[in-house]
Amino acid sequence: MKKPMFTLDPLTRKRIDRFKQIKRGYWSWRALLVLVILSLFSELFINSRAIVVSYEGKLYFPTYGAVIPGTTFGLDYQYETNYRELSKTLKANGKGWVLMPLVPYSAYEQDFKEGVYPPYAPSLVSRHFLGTDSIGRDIVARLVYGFRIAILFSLAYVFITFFIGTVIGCLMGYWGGWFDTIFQRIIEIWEQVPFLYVVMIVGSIYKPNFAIFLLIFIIFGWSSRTWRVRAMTYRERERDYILAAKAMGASTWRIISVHIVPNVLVVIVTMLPFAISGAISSLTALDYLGFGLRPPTPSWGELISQGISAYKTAPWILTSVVSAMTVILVMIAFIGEGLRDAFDPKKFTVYK
Amino acid sequence: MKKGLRTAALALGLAAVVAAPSFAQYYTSKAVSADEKAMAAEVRPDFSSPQVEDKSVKVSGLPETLTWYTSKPGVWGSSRAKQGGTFRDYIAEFPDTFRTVGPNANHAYRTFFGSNPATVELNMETREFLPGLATHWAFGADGKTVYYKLNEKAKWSDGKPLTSADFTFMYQMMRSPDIQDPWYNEFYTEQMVDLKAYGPYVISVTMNAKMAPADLLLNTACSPRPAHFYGGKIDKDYVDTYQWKAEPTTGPYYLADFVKGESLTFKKVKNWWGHEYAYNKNRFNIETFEYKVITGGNDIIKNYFYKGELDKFYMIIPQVWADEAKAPEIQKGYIDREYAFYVPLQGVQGIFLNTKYKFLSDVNVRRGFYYAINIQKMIDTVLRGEYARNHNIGVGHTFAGIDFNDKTIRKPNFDPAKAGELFAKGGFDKIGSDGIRVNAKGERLSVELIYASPNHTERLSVLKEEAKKAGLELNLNLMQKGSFTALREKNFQAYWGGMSTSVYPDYWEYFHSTNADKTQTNNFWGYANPEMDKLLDAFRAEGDLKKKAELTKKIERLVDQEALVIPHYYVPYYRGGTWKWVRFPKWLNNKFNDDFFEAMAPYNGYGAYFGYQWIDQDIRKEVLEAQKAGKAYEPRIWMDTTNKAN
Repeated sequence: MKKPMFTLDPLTRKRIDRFKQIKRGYWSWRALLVLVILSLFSELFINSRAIVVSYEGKLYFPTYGAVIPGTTFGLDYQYETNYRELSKTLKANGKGWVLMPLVPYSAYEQDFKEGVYPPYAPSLVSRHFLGTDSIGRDIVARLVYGFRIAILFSLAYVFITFFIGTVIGCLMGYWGGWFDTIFQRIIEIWEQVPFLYVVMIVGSIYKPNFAIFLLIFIIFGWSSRTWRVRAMTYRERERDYILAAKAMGASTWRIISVHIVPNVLVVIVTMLPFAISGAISSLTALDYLGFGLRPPTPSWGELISQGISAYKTAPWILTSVVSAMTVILVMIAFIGEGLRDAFDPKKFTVYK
Repeated sequence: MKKGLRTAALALGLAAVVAAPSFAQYYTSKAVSADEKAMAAEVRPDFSSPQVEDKSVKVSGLPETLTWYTSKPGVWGSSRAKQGGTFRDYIAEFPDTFRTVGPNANHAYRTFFGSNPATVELNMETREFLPGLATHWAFGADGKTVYYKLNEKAKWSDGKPLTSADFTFMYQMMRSPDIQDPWYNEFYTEQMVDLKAYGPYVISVTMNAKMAPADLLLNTACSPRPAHFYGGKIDKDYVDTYQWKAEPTTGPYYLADFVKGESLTFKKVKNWWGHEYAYNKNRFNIETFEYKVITGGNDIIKNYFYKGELDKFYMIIPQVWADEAKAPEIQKGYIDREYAFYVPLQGVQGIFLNTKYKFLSDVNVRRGFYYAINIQKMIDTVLRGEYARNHNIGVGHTFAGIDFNDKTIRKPNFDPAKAGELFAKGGFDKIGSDGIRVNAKGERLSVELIYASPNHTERLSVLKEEAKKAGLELNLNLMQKGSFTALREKNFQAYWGGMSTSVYPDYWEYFHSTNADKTQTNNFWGYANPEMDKLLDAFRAEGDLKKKAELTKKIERLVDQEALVIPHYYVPYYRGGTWKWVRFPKWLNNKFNDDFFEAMAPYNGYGAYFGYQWIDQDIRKEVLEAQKAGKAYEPRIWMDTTNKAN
């Protein structure tokens, strides 16, 4: 990948160059990277809090940090300032100005208009660029914050499970024997536990938060990552360079981390994008079914279920979320495809 | 810009109507306009049925001399009603059994099969009593017994006459262990302690405790079982033998046919005896009811409805009501909408606050919730201003003409400043950097709110956002399973939901200190207060309904002060769409009746039959022709606001 974990040997260099040549994958990779990074700072673009407020000659930056009560700006309430209103008030009394983000709504707040009921259609005037859901929450905000949660969740999930899976898989392959046998049996049994059902049961009894949800996913997700790594390790450990390393007295950990993992990495890297899109899909599915993260956490699954039930009257909800999801998943698939081609051993077979 | 356009369009539309009213080109047809005209002239009948003494009744051979009572309701049905026709409806699942007692008998469609009227029925307009299978009733001197004189014309749907033997058989059956239904065994042994027959047409029913007369009637009113159908005895094989055998009924509709797993067909009993009563005239007009099993939820049902394969579709939820208005069949007037207000019977409902949970033990904090929970905004936005705000722990508790709810109780409107003051009094005097209040111990004013229905997420999201303004954090926790268990175990902080109730409330189980520290009881709040105990004990000891009502009102005021429940709303109406050929009387519904679309079976335990609607075959023909030709009628919403609150 872009920043390899190990020094850039010529082989890796070649692989990266090859990946760059695969335009679809490379552009998807760059676009996705930008999206992820932007989403990390979405508070600056999509937020009900202003970016900058100038009030009586003083500047305020409410985006990050503590809630600023309305009284600070001479309003008559103690709760968080409504910056959209403040903007109008300050314009009227000339005491300052407010710079609002591009989309001046958070993912949680409900914007209700007098006399008409949401969902509201997309509108440039109200800056609900993709409209609102059925309780007046901005779709753009829900989409972006939902994306951020989904992608961070799946990245965390995929990297942690691959880490655990790789370590255990390597050890199984490298040590073999009773360790291998015992873990094989454990994993075989563990994999029979229907993962989604467990999540649903747990989710319906206790509403898990992000961390617990991630933990459940990891507990049931690591085992499937071991098989290929184990098989690869089995093959690698019989090769001469491993014997040589052993002969030189390298420790097990050194042999695994320095010699085996780089060679096994090919399998992991090519599996990675598909695992990520899989994680996004299952999180979305769970949210759709109502077993996901606590409401009103923004989520694509929740948007899909809303979108379906309101499709006839508010087609923009489903359209937005399905388009966004398709674009993201297709991009990830392109990256995966690119990586697979770039790492294809048929093109570069070099034994270390 | 958009708003401007909308206004302009509206103005243009108005101008068009004013300038050229003849442009409104709606199709009308003969039968439709005739019936609509007749409907316009219809008035709401007098539904009252006060209990009157009937001196003409003489019954000999009874152990005591009695004063016989009855009531004489007038004609309630519509004179427009036509007989015959088929009403097509759905059931969400095929019943597990046709028995009405025993294992699996407690399914959603049980009332279809146990549709016997009781000895006396409740008037759904006044909650007075109506003669049912018994024409007269009398009260024993012991204060526990009611005597019923049966209607000698009553017959089973198989033609056999109804006698007191059917009641004694029912009593024997309900006490039999072979029906495998401990609840009935218990009730008919411990609560209803005796049932005797005096000749073929008089029975007496005795309860285990003294009660006010109206209460006695409510408790002793019972339905018979056909002794001849069971050969006069219940044996060990009852559950299996009668699994798929529907017993004959004394009600207007019997099970005529069924396809297991697919459909049920009910037909009107030929020359039904019940038409003897004036109040049954022009009712139960429909000849056949076809129930098809349709699974897959509302969207699927809706499709059947618009295809014309079902005759009715509920549109209770505000968004559904608004969305369906755009359906072509409705806009072209082939489907009419009916919308009637009523007073629901609702028990303790709203947000329950657990007084055993840390800071919720402080009454100031709990009262702060009154100001911090913006129920009104939730109603005005998500519920489109259509649900009614509830201020009390009980709604619709009217019985025998006595009102049990204190309607003067009012909850304050949303006021974050006022909420803040109360929270500060309860120790939460600082506001944290995230806007949520904090107390001296560093605890945040954060409460987990558990709820069971995914449909309520939107409603609660509004409350959550609003509560932030008062420095209160609500963490929504949807527990589709287990929320009620958590409630019963007092293992919760705040609970969104409610309990059902009977025609008047007995709050003992909820607020008496006996259960304050026990789990698996209905004192969810862990609430103990000697003053409350006194009221509750006095309520139980009191025999007079009027005095009971006064005590109930005091209890309600105390609960209001203690802020144990933040009441939410009630649904003050029933509404939906029916194809134009399903016709209703102009007044649509009774004051206390909920589902006026359900023509065949009583919907809840207290509901008598409704059955005022009918099918107009001529209109059906006209509408189907109009639909074929693409001609549009004027869309109709039939609305009755007689029982709208406020």
